[in-house]
Amino acid sequence: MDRRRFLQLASVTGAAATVAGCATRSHDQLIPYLIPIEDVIPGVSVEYATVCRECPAGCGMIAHVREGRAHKVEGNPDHPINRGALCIRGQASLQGLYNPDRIRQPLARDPSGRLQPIPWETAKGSLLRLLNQAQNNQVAWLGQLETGALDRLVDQWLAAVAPSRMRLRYEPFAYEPLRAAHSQALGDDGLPDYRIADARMLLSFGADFLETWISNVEYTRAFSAWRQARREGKHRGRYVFLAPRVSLTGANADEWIRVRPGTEGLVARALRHVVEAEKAMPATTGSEVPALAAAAGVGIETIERIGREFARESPSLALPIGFAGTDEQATAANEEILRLNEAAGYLGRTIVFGRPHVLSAAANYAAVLDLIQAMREGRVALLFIHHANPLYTIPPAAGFTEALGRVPNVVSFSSYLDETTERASLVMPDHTPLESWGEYSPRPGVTGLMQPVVSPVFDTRATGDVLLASAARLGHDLGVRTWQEYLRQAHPLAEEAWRAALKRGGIFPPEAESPGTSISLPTSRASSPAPQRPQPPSAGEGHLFLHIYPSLHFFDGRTANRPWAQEIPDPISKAVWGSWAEIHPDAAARLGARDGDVLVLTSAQGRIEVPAFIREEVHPEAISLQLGQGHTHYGRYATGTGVNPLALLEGAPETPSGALVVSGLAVEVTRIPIRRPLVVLQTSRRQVSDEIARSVTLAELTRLAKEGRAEAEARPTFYAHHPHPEHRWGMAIDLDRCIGCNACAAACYAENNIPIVGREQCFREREMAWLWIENYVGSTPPRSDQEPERADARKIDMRFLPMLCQQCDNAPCEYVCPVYASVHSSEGLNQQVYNRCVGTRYCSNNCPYKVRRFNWFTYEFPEPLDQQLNPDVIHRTKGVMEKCTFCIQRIRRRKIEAKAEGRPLRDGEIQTACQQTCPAEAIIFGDLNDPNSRVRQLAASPRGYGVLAELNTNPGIIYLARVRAE
Amino acid sequence: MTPRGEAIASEEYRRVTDDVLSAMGPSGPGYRAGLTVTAAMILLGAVAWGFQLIYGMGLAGYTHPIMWAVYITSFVWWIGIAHSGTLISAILFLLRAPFRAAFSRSAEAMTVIAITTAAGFPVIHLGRAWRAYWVFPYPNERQIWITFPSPLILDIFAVSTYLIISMLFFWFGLVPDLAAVRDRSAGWKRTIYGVLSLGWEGKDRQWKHYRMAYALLAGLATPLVVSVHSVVSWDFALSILPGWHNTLFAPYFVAGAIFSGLAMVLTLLVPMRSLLRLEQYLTISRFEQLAKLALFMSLIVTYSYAVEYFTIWYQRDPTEQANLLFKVRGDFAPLFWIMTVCNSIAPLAFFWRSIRRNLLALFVISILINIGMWLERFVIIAGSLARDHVPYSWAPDGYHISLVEAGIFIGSLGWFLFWFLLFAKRLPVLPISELKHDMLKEHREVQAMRIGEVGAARGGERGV
Repeated sequence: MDRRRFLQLASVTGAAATVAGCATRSHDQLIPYLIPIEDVIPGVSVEYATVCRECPAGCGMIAHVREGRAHKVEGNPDHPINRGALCIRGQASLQGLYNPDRIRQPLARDPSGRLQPIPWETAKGSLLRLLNQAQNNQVAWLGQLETGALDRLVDQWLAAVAPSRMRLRYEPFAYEPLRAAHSQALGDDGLPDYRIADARMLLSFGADFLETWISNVEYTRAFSAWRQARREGKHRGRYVFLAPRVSLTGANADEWIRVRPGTEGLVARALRHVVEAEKAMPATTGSEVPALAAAAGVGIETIERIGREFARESPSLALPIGFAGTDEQATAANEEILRLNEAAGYLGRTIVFGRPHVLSAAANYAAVLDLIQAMREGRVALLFIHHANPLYTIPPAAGFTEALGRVPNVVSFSSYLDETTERASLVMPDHTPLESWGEYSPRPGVTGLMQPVVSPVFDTRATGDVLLASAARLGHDLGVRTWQEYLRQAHPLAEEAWRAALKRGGIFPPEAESPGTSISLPTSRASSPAPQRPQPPSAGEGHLFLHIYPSLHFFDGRTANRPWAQEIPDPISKAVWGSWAEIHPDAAARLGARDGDVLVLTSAQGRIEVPAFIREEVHPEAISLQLGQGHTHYGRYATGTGVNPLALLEGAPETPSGALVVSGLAVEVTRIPIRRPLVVLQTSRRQVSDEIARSVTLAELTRLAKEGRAEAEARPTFYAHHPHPEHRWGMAIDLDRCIGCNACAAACYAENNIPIVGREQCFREREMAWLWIENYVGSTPPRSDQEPERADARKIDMRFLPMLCQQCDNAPCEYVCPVYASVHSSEGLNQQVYNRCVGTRYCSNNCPYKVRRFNWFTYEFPEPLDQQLNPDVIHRTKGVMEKCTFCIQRIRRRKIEAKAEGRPLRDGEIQTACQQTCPAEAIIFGDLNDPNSRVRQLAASPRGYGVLAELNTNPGIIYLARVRAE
Repeated sequence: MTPRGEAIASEEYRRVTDDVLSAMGPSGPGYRAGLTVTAAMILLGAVAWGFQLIYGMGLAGYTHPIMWAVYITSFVWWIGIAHSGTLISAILFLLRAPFRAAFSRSAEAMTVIAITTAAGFPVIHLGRAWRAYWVFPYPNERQIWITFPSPLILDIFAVSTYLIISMLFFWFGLVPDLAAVRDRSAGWKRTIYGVLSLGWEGKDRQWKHYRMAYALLAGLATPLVVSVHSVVSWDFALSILPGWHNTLFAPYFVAGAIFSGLAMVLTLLVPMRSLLRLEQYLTISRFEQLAKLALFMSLIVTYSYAVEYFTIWYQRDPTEQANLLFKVRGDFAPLFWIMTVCNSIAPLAFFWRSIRRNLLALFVISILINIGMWLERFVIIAGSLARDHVPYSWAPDGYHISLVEAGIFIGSLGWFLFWFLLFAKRLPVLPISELKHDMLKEHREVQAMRIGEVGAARGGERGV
C-alpha cells in the first residue's frame, strides 16, 4: 500500500476507526486534520459517493464533507435510479447520522433491568456467550432487506454460528399482494418495471408512486417526463386516481374516482369488462358491471368513460394498489388490475417484467407471524434485530411484544433506542449508512456502492465487522478479517476499477435499458379470478373504515426522528409535529366535529385519540391516518409525537400473499369534548382570485403557444430599474412539474443551516423554512358540483407552489428597512445583511409573499447536529431577519472557480440546493442575462407569469402555470 | 372675581399664585402611594423587557406574519396622545381660545411625557435593541448611512423634532411660573428652580421677549401637530400591505391622535381637579369645551372610518375587501366592534349637555376612548398583517398578547403616570401668568361694558 493510498483510505475511514479512543474525539476538533491530507483543500468540500438507505429504493447519493463533517447530501447524477435527485428522506438522512439521540456505544441490560453502556470488548464477549448458549435452539435474524455482500455475509454467518436458524428480510412495505398476484397470474412474483413515462393514460389504484411506493424518486422522474410529454403534445392522456383517499400521488392527478375502501378490485374488474367490450374481445360476464359499480359506489357512466379512455389511449398503464389498500382481498384486487392491463394489451409495453425490484425478495408478513409463533413457543433462544423495529411496525395485536418476552436474549444492532431496541438485552450499535461500507442493488445490474463519508461519530462498529469477529472467535473462518475486505472481495475488480466504481457510486448498466421480457397470459390458466366479495355496504352506525397510508416523510416510521421530517409540513395536510385523522365533511357533520376536535377511534384491538382534519378528498365512509408517528421510544423528536394507527389493527395476514391487512377494518369513531388544535402551517388553500398558483388547460396551452402570453410585462414605474451589467440571477419554477414532495424544502434546511423551532413555535407560525410548498385548489368546480348526483368522480385541480424569496427587482422590503440591511445586488439578488439587521421587521410586513423569517430566539443545534452545519453559511442569532439567498454561497463558489480557471460561467453550473435535489426538475436557476440560458427560455414561456406581479414587485422568479387536462 | 368698577386687587392675583403653588405643597400618603405603584409598574416593564432582551423577541406574542403588534400600537398611541397637548397649548393659543389656559400647562406636560414614553417603543420592538443607535445618521468608518426613504427613519426625524420643540415650548412657557416658585422656595429648591427659570425677573422687556418666543414656538409647534402624526401614519401608508396602503391615513391618524389626546387630557385632569383642589380654575364649563372638542374629533374619526370602508368597497380589490371583512367578522371582530363602540358611539353622549358637564361621565367616556383608540391602532396594524395576499401565510388564530408585552405596556403606563405625578407636584400645573392675563382681559372687558352702559345711560355724552 503506498502513501497516497494510505492517506486516501485514512481520509475515507478515518485512521481513528482502528484506534478506539480517537473515534469519538476526531469530530470534536476544530481543525480535525492536524496533519493535513494532501488532496483535501481546507474550505473545499470533498465529495463521496454512497447509497441512500432511508428506504429500499436505494438511490445513489453524494455526500459533501468538509474537514471530516458531512454538511450536505445530494443525489448521485450517475446513478440510474435517481439521476442526481433525492427525496425529503434522502436529504434528511444527515439527521440520522448526526441525530442527538443516537446510541453512542454498546449497551447491555444490567441486573436492575436498565440498559447500561459497556465497552466493545465486553459486548463482543457477551455476543459470544449468547451464541454459545443458544447452541441447539433456534437463532432468529429479523433484519431489513439487504443485498449483495452483507446479505450473503449474514447468511454465511448464521450458517456458521447457528445450526438452527431463521432469517427474515423484513420490510414493512413488501408489496406482498402485488407479488402474489403476479405469481398467481403469470408465475413471476418479481416486482416489474412500471414505465410511467411511456404511458398515455395513467390509472392508479392507489399506489403512491410519488411518495413511498417501491422507488419514489425514480417514479417521480418518470411522472415528470410523462407530464412533459403531455405539454409537448406527444399525448393527451389523463391521470386518473381511483382510491378512497387522495394522497399526494392522487393530488397530482387530473381526476379522482372515489371508490369505497376495499372495492378497488371490483372497479378494476368492471373496467376490464369495458375494455374488453371496447376491443371487441370475447366479453367475460360483462353484465356484472352494474353490480360491481354499485358495490364500489362508482357510477356506471364513470366506469364506462374511464374504461373506454383507457382502452383507446394506447399504451396506458394501470398501477396497482399500494400499502394503504391492502385489505383481505388485496391479491385478488391486484390480479384484477394486472388483467386490466393485459386486456388492454399493455403488458410488456408499460409493465415490463424481467428486472424485478429487490423488494421482491423481502419476507412477507406471514413469515413474521411464523417467527412470532416460534418465539411464543419458546423455540427462539436468540433474536437479532438489524435495522428493523417490529414493535412499532407490526400491530400490537399480532403479539410480537408478548412473544418477545419469551425470547431470553435479544441483540439489536440499531442506531437508535427505538421501541424494539428498548427491549433488547444487548445493543451493539451499527454505523449509520453514511459511516458504512456496503452495497445495495435495487434492481439486477444496478449495484450502488456505499463507503463511509465521515469517520464514525460515536463508538459504533460496522455490523459486518462484529459478525466476522465473532465468527472468527468461534473458530469459523469466513475468509476475511474485516467487513471492508469482505465487500471488496465480493467484487472481483482490479484496484483501479474498484476505485473508479467507488468514485462513480456503483456498478451500473450501460445506458440502453434492457427491453425486458414481454409476458402473455398462459391460456390454460383460469380465465379470470373469482369476483371479490364486496365490502359490507357501510361501516355501520358510528363506524368508519380505517384507512392507513404510508408517510412520505416518515416512510414506515423509521425517519420520524429526523427533526426536518417533523417540521417540514405534510404535503397534504400541511400539519407538523403530530398526527391527524382525515374525514369527509359528511362524516364530520355526523360526529359534530370541527378541525382539531379530538376523535376517539376504537377497535377490538385498541384505542387511539387523534385530532380531526376535514377534507373533501376522503371517502365519506373512511377515516384516514398516516403511518409513521406515535412512537413511544424513538428519541426526543419522535417520542410522543402523534399516534400509531397500527394499534387498531388485528394483525391478520392476507391470503394468499401473507401481507398485513391494513384496510377494511371498521372502527368506531366518536368525538370527545377536547380540542387539540392541529399545528397546520397553511391557513387557507383557497386563493382569493385564482392568480397565485395558476393553471391552464391543455386547450388553453395550445392557444397560448400560438398567441403568446397575453399580459403585458412592462408596468409603469417612476423608479429606475436596477442595472445588471453582468449576471442577473433568476429562476423558473414549473408548476406542472412540481408534485409537492418537499424535497426542495429539506435540501434548503440542510444547505442553509435553518434551525428547527419545535411544535410550540410552529403553532405561532414561527417555522424558519426559507422555502415551502403552498397548496392551492383551483376554483374550477369539481365535477360533482356540476352534476350533483355524481360525487364519485371529481376533477382534481390541486396546485403546488414552491414559495421562496422572489428576489424582486422592485423589492418592497428594501426601501422600508431603516438601516440598509435589505439591499439589492448588482446581480439581481435581494440581499439580507444579517450583521446590519436591527430587527424592526418592517421588511416582512412589506413583503407580499411573506417569505421573510425572523429569528425569534437564538436557536440551538443539539450536538452532534451542529456538525451538519454548512460552514459556508453564517449562523444567525436572535433578532435578525433571514430569507432565501438563491444559495449565494454556491453562486460565489462557482464564480470564484470560473474566475480561477479563467473561463465564463456555464449555464447549469450553479445549482441552488432546491434545484439540485428536485426529483421532478421543477426548479431551474440561471442567468437571465444569458440569452442561451435555460431559465431565460423558460421565462419567455407562454405559461410563464409572476406571482402577485400586479403589485409591481418585478419578481426574479417566473412560475410556469400548471397544465390540467380540462 | 373682580369687584365692580375697580382694578383687580393684587390679592386676586396673589390668590391665583397661592392656589396653584399650594398644589405643590407637601404630599400626602395617597400621592406617595401613587408614586410607589407607578414605580412598581415601571419596574415590571423593565423586568419584562429584560427577559425579552435576554431570550429574544419570541417571548412576545408575535405570530408570523403579524410582526408588529402591541409595541408599535403603543408607540403610535402614545405619540397620538402627545398631539393633543400640542393642539391645546399651541393651536388653541394661536386661535385665542378662552378655555385653553386651564388645560395648557398639563397638556404640554402630557405631550412631553408622552413623547418620551412613546420613544421607548421603537427601541423595545427591535430584534437587536442594543444596536438601536444604528438608526441615527452618524458618520462611521464603514460609511454606511441610514435608509432615508424608509418611513421608520422619517419617524425618527419627526419624533425627534417633535420632542425637542415640545420640550422647548414646555420649558419656555414655564419660565415665569418657575420664577414664581423660586421666589417662594428656599435652599436647594430655590437653586434648582432658579436655574430652570433662567433668572427671570418679570421685567417688561423680558415679558416682551417671552411673549414673542412663546408665540414663535407655538407657531413652530402647530404644524407639527399635523406633520408628526402624518409621518407616523406613513409607517403604514407607505407600505404596500392591504389595509395599510391607504392615502387617507395622514388625516385619519392625525384626527385620531387629537381625539385620543383629548381623551387622555380628560382622563388626567378630571381627577387632578379634585385632588389638587383646582375647582376654581378647572371649571365645569371649561371641561365642557374640551368635551365638545372631543365630540367634534369623534365625528371626524367616524367619518374617516366611513371613507376608508367606502374606498375599500369602491375599489373592488379582492384582497383589500377580504382583509376588511376579516377584521369585521374574523378573529379580530371583537376588537373591531369594541373599537367602533368606544370611538364612534360612546362619544355621541357628549351631545347631551348634562353628560358634558358630568365629571364622572367625562372620565369614563375618556377612558373608553383611550381604549378604543388603542384598539383602532391594533386592529389596523395586527389585523392588516394577519391576512394579506398569500393565503398560506395568513395568521391562523388571531393574536394572543403575551405576558411580556402586557408587562412592558404596563411599564409604559407606569412611566407616563409616574412622571405626570411628579409634574403635578413639582411644577405648577396651571399657567399662573396666563391665568392672570386672562383675568385681566376679562376685567377689562367687564370694565368696557360698564363704561359703555354708563355712557349710554348718560345719553352718550362722552361716548367712550
